[in-house]
Amino acid sequence: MMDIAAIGHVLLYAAFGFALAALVLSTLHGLRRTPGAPASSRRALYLCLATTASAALLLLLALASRRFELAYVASYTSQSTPPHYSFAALWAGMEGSLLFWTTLTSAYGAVAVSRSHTKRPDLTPPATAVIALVLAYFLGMLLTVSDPFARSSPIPIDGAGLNPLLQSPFMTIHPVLLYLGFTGLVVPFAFGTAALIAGRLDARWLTTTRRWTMAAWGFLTAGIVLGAAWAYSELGWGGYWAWDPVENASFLPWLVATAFLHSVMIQERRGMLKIWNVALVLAAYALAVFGTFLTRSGILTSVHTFTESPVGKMLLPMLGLILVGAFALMGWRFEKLRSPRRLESLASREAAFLFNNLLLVAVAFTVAWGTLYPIVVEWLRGERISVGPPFFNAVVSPLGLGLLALAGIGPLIAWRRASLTSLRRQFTIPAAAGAGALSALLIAGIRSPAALAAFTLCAFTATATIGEFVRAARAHGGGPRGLVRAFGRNRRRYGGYVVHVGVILIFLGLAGGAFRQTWTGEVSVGSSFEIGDYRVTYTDASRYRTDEKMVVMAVMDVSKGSRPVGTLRPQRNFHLAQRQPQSEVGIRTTLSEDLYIVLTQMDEGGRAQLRAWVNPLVAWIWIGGAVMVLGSVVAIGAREPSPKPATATREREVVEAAV
Amino acid sequence: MRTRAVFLGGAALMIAAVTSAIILASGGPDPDGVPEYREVVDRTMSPFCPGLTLTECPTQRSAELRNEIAEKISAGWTNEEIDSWLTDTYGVGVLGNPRDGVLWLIPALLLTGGAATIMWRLARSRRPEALVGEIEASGEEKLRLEAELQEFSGGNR
Repeated sequence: MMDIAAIGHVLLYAAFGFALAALVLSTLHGLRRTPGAPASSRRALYLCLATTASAALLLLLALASRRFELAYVASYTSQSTPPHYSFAALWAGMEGSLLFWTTLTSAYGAVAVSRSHTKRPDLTPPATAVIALVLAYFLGMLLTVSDPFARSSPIPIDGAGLNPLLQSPFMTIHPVLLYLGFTGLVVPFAFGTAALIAGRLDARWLTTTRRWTMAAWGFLTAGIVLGAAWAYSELGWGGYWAWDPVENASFLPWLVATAFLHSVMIQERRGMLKIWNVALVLAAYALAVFGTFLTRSGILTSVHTFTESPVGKMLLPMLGLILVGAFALMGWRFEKLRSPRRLESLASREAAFLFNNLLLVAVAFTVAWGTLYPIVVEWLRGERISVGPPFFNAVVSPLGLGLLALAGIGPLIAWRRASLTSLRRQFTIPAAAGAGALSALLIAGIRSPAALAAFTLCAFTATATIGEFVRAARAHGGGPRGLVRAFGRNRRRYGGYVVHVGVILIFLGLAGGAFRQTWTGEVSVGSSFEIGDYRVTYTDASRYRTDEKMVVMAVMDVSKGSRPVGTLRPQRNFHLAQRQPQSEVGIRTTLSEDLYIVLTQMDEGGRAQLRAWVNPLVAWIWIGGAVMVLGSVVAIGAREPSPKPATATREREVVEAAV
Repeated sequence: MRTRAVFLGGAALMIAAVTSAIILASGGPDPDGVPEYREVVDRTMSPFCPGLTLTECPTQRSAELRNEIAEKISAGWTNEEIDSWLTDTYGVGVLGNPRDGVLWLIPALLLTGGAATIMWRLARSRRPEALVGEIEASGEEKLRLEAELQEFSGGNR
């Protein structure tokens, strides 16, 4: 029989060798301008991808065929694990997920380098060196402290199986999307560093990296929203975001990448914020590594964290290297990073973007600070404290509302300086819509300040965004065809507005949380309880056993008013291999609200302990997430502009003031 | 000079507003007030579910703790009495929003410092010699301008 462990190790050693070769060759080119070195370093990077991907494929085959002679396979699959979850086992544990991470990084690196070497021959060799260094570091960890091909001793007859919480369709996609987002940030990081090394800090390096950042951002968005959907449908606590350290770790690079995607426009249009853009690109990848460190070091308690391992400690020097290197390079190139242009007016699009960046970075900092604060306090005072949702919600909610407002304000203001007349003309209708929404809500009896602010700003920003679409359609011939033509001419701009529509829908869903209703109690078969407009009748209890689990299930008939609207079957499973209980939530989803029932316990007589929630507007969070991803796909397809030397003409200034 | 003063005044006002809001929020609930049930379970971390509040924790023991809290609120316990009882029983980790000034101060400093920097740069750059540079409009924007100008002249006719 094939010795999978030996083949796996050979592939990893080969990949490590190719990464080192790419690093050495591209560095040599940088030092001595060695002819042929860039091409050879690219080939080494392609071979690194081939060998890393082969190793990942080999591990997948071992997982699918239950080769328990590998310790990783024995830890994360069993004979009773459903075959389609064999793939999910690749990222269920630390060693497999690190191999997956490395494979994706090498894929991004190889594709980015192959696409850019003719367009940006000055930046591609140093970018290759950076990507190769990152790959060598991760492959070094796979070969030393996190070996996915380690042998089992003794070889077990059956494995431990996949964590039941991970046996969900969401979990087969969510980690992949997050990893695609995290690792995708390596490309802008590499090209940002390359621009610093080569001293080519005009807007052209941004052109090379913007699309990659947008792709990584789109994946992160999809991954975060699907993660929330998984938590909502699988964890059974009625919510979707708990400010858990691992959730926060995925949110941090997303926030910084979002800031970059906005501020990059200021550099492209006005030549400002060069140093800020470089810092954001480097910080986004540093935060992706930081998140990986958090999840693998065991320093924080989380439902997601992998156990404490040397991988976490090995990521710290890498993080240090990134930070020290970034500061050193920025210090070295400081003169080239200075911009001669200044902010001219508070009533300008640049100012709106600046405040947008300030809020995004403040949210990122607050989330990082709140996540790490318990460690700081324990280290300094020896006291174990918690920083949980009450803190994060109190600080992040107002900042988030500020961002929502800016999403409406930004597109309405001209670059450089907007006149009072233009501001009045642009803001009248959106402001009236906001005021109208506020009045309607007050008349309807809504008094929650957070909900009032959120719905008002949703109305304002939605009207401002729709106004942009209407003006765009009109400028391109009118009607839906005009809108399609506008999208075709400037996919980046209108893709961005589609993202804003998604953001508005998400805020709508979040604001619904203010009206959440809960019910907790015990019911016997035949009895009912009421929550919101629903009457829930417990009609039957069932118990059964499969090879994998024991199941108890409550059958609940749901009616709204006098009209039956469906049957929910919340269940409580006990997974035999893992000796772990798990809930299957009963959810009835509509656009206006979800009815969400969790069975927490059932006694022998069928008496069930239940928790139920009515969660208004939750569906809009998932719809909003999908719209955001759609917007990012539209924006990614935009043709990259070729930077033109700007010419100072009165006409252009007039154009800018008007648009 | 007057514009600069207006901007600096605006910046100072904004900083003061943000700082006050943060100080108010970090102060937590009125210690002598009798809270609503939901306020308490929303702000208290469950000792039985790491990372989840009492509202969210699905275990039986947290349901019992929620019931105990409801009883104490019915008996007229104040915020301070409930929080003291919770921290005496489960430790300070049970407070999801610690009354710790440093926790709140650092983000507040960052936010107000950032806002002040933007305002300061704006005030500095409003000097005439700082106003340099121009912008290239895209073809799509020119089209939009033409449409807007047409609409404008149509409306004035």
